[in-house]
Amino acid sequence: MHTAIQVENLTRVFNRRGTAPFHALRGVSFDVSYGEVFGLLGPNGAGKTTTIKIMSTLLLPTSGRVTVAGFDVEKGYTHIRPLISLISGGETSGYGILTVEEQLWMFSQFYGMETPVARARIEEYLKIVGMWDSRRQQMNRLSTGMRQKVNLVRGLVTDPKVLFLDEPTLGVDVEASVIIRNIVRNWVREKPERSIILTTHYMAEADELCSRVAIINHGLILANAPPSQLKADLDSRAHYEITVDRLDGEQLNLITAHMGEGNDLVLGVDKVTNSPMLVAHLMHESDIARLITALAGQGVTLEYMRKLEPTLEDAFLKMVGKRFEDEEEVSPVS
Amino acid sequence: MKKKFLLFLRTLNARAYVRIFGQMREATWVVASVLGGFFTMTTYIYLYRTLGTGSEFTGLVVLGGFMIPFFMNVLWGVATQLYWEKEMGNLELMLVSPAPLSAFLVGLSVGGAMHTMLRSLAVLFFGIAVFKVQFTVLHLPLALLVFLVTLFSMYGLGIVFSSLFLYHGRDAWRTADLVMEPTNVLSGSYFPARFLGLGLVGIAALIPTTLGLDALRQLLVPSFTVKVLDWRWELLILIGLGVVFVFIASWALRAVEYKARRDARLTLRWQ
Amino acid sequence: MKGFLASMYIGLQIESNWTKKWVWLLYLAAYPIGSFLAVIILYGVFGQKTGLLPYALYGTIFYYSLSMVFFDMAFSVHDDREHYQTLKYIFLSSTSYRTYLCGRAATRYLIALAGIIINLCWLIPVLRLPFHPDWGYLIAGAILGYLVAAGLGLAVASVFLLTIKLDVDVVDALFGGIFVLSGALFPPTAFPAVFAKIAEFVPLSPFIELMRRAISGKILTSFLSDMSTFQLLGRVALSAVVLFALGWVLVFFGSRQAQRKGYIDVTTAF
Repeated sequence: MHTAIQVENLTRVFNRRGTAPFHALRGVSFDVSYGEVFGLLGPNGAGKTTTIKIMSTLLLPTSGRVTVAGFDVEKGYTHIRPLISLISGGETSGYGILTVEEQLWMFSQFYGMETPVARARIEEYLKIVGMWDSRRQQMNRLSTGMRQKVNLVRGLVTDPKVLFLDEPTLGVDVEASVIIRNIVRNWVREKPERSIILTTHYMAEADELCSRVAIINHGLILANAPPSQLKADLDSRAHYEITVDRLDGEQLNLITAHMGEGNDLVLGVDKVTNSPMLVAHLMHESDIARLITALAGQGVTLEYMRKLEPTLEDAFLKMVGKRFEDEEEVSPVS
Repeated sequence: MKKKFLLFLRTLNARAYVRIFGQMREATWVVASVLGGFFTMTTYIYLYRTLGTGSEFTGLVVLGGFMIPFFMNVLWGVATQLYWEKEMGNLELMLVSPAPLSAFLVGLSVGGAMHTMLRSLAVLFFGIAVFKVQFTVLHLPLALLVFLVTLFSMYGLGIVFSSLFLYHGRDAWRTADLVMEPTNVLSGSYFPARFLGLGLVGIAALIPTTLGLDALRQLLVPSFTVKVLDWRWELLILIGLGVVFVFIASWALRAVEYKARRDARLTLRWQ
Repeated sequence: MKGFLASMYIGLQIESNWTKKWVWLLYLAAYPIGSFLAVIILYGVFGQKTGLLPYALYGTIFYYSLSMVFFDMAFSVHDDREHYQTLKYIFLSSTSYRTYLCGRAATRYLIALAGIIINLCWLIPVLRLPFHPDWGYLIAGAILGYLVAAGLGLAVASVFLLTIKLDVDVVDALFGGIFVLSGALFPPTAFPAVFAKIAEFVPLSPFIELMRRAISGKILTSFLSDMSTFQLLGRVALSAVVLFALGWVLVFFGSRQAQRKGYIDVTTAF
């Protein structure tokens, strides 16, 4: 079996006193294979956490079907739970009065791990995250980043097949975020029968870690593809920023005419050097050679050039932004 | 089966560990909790002296003072615990794990009972020493049996209540707060339950403390005659109650967890 | 003042918004029953000849009203720090933490008084309790009683600011001791002489006796009978000033120490 998770036409409606029902998920479908890091991106209130909660058996679907490791989340949850783990960002869970070691040991017992095995894994992972020296510190004395590292270790110690990461680097500093991402990346590589489902607001993180990304908004999947494909679909043109020694309006018009239709050239200022900067949107990457030749022909010297790649954030904003403009009337959020 | 049993035991052990060793990290509670229990006991002993009752009532109150902390622990340390775990964000981590909820609660009960035992024994000791109470030691083994059965039944009831707290949260907490003191009164903690009349005693008997205390008083206080039933019958009823509570708890936890998953109550905080 | 009123509002929401309004009103009326049920049963069964039921019932009811204040204040620290995790935001706001505690406790007190009044409406005729109220003493006593209880509550809150674990047992022990000696449930003359003397100086004793006399119009036992009602009022006023000032200062120092130790936003999740 290659599919870790199957989600078919998943809907979830929340009934709240005094307000209309809220449709958090409105027919979501996707698959996650083993060996994959699957990203779920969306603005606040899109339905990411609701989806994670259903997959991790904390919440039942209103309709639709979800299977994790081949078991249905509604009827087969007792078979699913030994195989999964959940790590949420901004977590305040745990017992503040326990030490790091005690806390991790306690959670390992909830998975039925033998103490010697648990202790060995705890030591291994604490060393990886650089928390081994803090193992005897009480949890309520840890900083946010340290807590999140301990949470990550908690999730990994039990060696789950499917790991749910709900904004794992939320509120965590750069160094700790890098460590967490490295661990996430290597964890799946080590054993291809593992999978990770990751939700995040940090596009760079999703771009870096995820083999596939689903963009969700208002309870609907807008896109489901590898990050490279999402970026490529965004805009097929090549974009360059070129800082030059001089360029006036007349020269720009001549060069624009020379480049032909479909190639746009915009003149601005380099904020660092204050030199003129040309932003070129070219139909084909090969057109850059013609542009440089044209600039040289005008006696313009290139000082600096870089290629602008579309980012996942650009793709996300385009999809979600468009959706905000196009959106139908939806039930009010409670 | 063996795997499930081992998982149950490991979870129980881990959760009890938190309660027992976590308490030890700030040991001021030992002195304070003993003093608190002692003051409550003293209040009622002097009340009875004011009312002109016989000295046997001192023994009754001391035994009541011994049992009340267990009931408090059942109500606030076990029944409400899933509510607090949810508020702290631990409940979802516990539920995502394969460990059964009942294992957490039994672990809490074991840890809570051990913690409460120290306090109750200290209160009992001070009560005997300060007020010169005399108990019959001949029936001590039987009293110990009655006590353990009462605990089993009480904590079973606590686990039943915990399922209510899991779903209802604040409403259940407020209800528990409301009925706590009347329950202490009706269970005969401060006076022989027989004085409530048969009708009320019948209802109060559902609280294991009622019959447990009555049986303990019969076995340990020589002059105690105002009993509800013979202690042998009370022991049997307590065993029956305990078994029934365990069955109800087992069903209720599963049913309420399903309902809570359906109604999105498992992670709903600040209800 | 705005901060005090806002705190009262928060206190009201915390106490009431867990259910429908009418259910909450029923709860408000039923809650005090637990405090005096034992009194009615014990004095009804054993103490009819002593004639002390009015003494014990009024005493327990008025003790209950103050206990709501100091327990609320004591537990607010833990509640705000661990449960709602808003303690740090209150500290950062322009309302002093002491004002906030007093506001929340004031709501609790008013709710307790409302429950008491509702229950007295049936207790007095059914149990034929003496009822010859002196409204002046009752109102003055009620206000001063709040200050006495608030002072005690602030003092305990200042200790809890410096402990990271909620010590329910410490609160139980402290106020359990006060309850025993306060003469709420029975005249402290039942104690050995030295404790009976100490009981006269327990902060709540003069308040409870004052309120007893103010509502019944009688001196019901020999406890504090050597003092006139006006003298009792004076002693309550003095206790109120001293305790409230002490509590106010203790919270100030407690807060500073808690800030130095980093206890404002620590959680134990025990």
